[in-house]
Amino acid sequence: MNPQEMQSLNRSIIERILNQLKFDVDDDISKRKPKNVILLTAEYLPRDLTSQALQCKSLAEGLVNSGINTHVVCFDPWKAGQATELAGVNVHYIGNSIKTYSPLTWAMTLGMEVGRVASDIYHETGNIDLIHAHEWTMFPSALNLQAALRRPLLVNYYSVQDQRTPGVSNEYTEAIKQLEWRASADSKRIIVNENWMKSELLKFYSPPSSKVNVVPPKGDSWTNSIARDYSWVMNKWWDSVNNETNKKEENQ
Amino acid sequence: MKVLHLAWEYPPYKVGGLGTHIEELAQAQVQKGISPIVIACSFEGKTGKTTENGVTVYRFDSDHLPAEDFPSWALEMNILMYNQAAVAIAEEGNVDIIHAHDWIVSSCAVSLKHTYRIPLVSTIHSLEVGRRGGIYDDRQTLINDLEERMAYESWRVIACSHFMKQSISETFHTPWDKVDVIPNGVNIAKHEIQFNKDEIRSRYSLPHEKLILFVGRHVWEKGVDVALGAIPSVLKEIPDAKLVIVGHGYMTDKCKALAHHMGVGDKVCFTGYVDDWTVSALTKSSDVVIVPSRYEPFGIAALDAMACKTPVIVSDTGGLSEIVEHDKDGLKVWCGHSESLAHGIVRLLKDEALGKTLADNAYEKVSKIYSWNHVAELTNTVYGSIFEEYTKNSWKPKPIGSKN
Repeated sequence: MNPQEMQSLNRSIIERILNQLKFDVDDDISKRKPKNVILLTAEYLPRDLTSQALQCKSLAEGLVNSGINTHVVCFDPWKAGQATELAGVNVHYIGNSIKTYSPLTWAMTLGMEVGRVASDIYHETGNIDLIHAHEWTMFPSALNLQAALRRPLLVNYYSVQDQRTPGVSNEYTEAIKQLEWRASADSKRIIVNENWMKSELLKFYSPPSSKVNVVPPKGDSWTNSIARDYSWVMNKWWDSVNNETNKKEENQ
Repeated sequence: MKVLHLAWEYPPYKVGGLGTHIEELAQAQVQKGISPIVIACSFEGKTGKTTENGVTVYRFDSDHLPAEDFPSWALEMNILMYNQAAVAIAEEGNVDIIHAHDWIVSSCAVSLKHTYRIPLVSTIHSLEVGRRGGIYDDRQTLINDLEERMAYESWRVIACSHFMKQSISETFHTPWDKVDVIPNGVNIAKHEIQFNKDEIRSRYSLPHEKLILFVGRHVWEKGVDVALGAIPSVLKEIPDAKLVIVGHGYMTDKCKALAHHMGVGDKVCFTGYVDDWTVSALTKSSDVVIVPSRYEPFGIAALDAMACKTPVIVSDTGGLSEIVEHDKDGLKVWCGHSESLAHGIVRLLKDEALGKTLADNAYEKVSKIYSWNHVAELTNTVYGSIFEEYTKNSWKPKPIGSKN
């Protein structure tokens, strides 16, 4: 084998490995980087119930630092209807005017407000390239927005229902599990904080392993890893849209 | 103009009268040059796109949703309905109006309105506060809030009667001039059936008996117990009278026991559910139809009787008061008052000529005012006014799915 053939073989092996990792050999992150993203989260600092609030804030600010225009739609009944800029992040607060009687009915009715505010951002402030939903409470509206706006959806799982209520199976828990399963199936990328969480997700909902990315929210570069995921998703998304358009044109 | 109807029930899947209403309206709209698209729940597992009498129908799988109660099921169903609507809009092209029918589709309707920036019009067929005579628990509160949100978000609200307009405005503080009154319709042709009257009557009564018919759910608001309470007084005057009660509900067993307790068990026949054809035949074969509802936003049962040329007695309440003109095309009796109802029944059964006059006048009325053709015309006028305002408005969508 001459050096040229050797180089070509090496290149094809590298390409294959990188393809498995879902990154192209000539990946140019900046070219495919989304300009506008929207994060959907029930919690965002200073309203803090779990570590999700801090993680979402760190992520949003990290994205802004890497040049991505970031909108956060979050629940805060005291600030509902307000929008403000915090550390470069556009934060939109929502409430739920519907009186509900369970977390499930709360999440599903809150979806109307999430959808309304996210849609307003889409229509009025330019564009949304990508939607990133955190935890199951945001999945109803996130799935709908993906379907209607035709923008890729990434989802973050911090836990799954089988961990929160182990061994419990009733109509209420099954409804949440179905939502979690749908998000794992229909989203374009899944992000979890730990390898253990990835194995739990694979055990309960069986998404393709390659679809789940483990990004521990530690150190300085974790938000860059997520931004890199965004770019990969964007790339794949527009490739599929272009292919679909080409097919339609050919058929016509 | 393309209109997206959101309907949780659509024939052949029927729970109440809502599905039939939407089907008749959509079919009449086709005749008026409107292109209706209906998003509806699946029926016996059947999903996908069909065209039925010119109406494009998309059905989605709603059969396997785990839900602890009906409001939860409805909210879960709305997520799937939204998804199906997104598919329909992508396939059918731009939609001009979203038309939502009742609270069950409210969260889907509100979300679609904002995502696509398409004006929303809603028809509120009844209110939770009226159906239960008040708001008493968490589930009712949720439904009541969803009704209010839908009324608030709608460009215009359609009520089936002036009574409903008043209720909506009072309950939700909806501006008076935002609510249009468009009655329900009746398809007279559906009642034009061939049947053997004696054979139908013989199923439920003896040949010489005078047949009094009640059709409806056996629930408090429909006043099935009021109907039963009238029978002893009717029998004193007309021993050959027989009450036939069609339908079912949580009060069925109670009413059967009541009939037995009052000693009129042999003069009351509970049929259970019967098919539409039999209801029509039975209505046409009856001497009088009674609609003794306590709460009735509209009163489609009265309209069906009028379309069958059978004299009708209604309680003087809600939409029924607006449909019937006393002593001209029917009789009105006091709401929730069995003795008043008995008086009306006796009067009609003793005076056949009066019954015929009332029935003829009623038939003429439904032919003119309550045809689906007329209902579609009125609905299109509402669409037109919305669309005119919308085109002048700055609230417009950015093309969905476009790149920057």
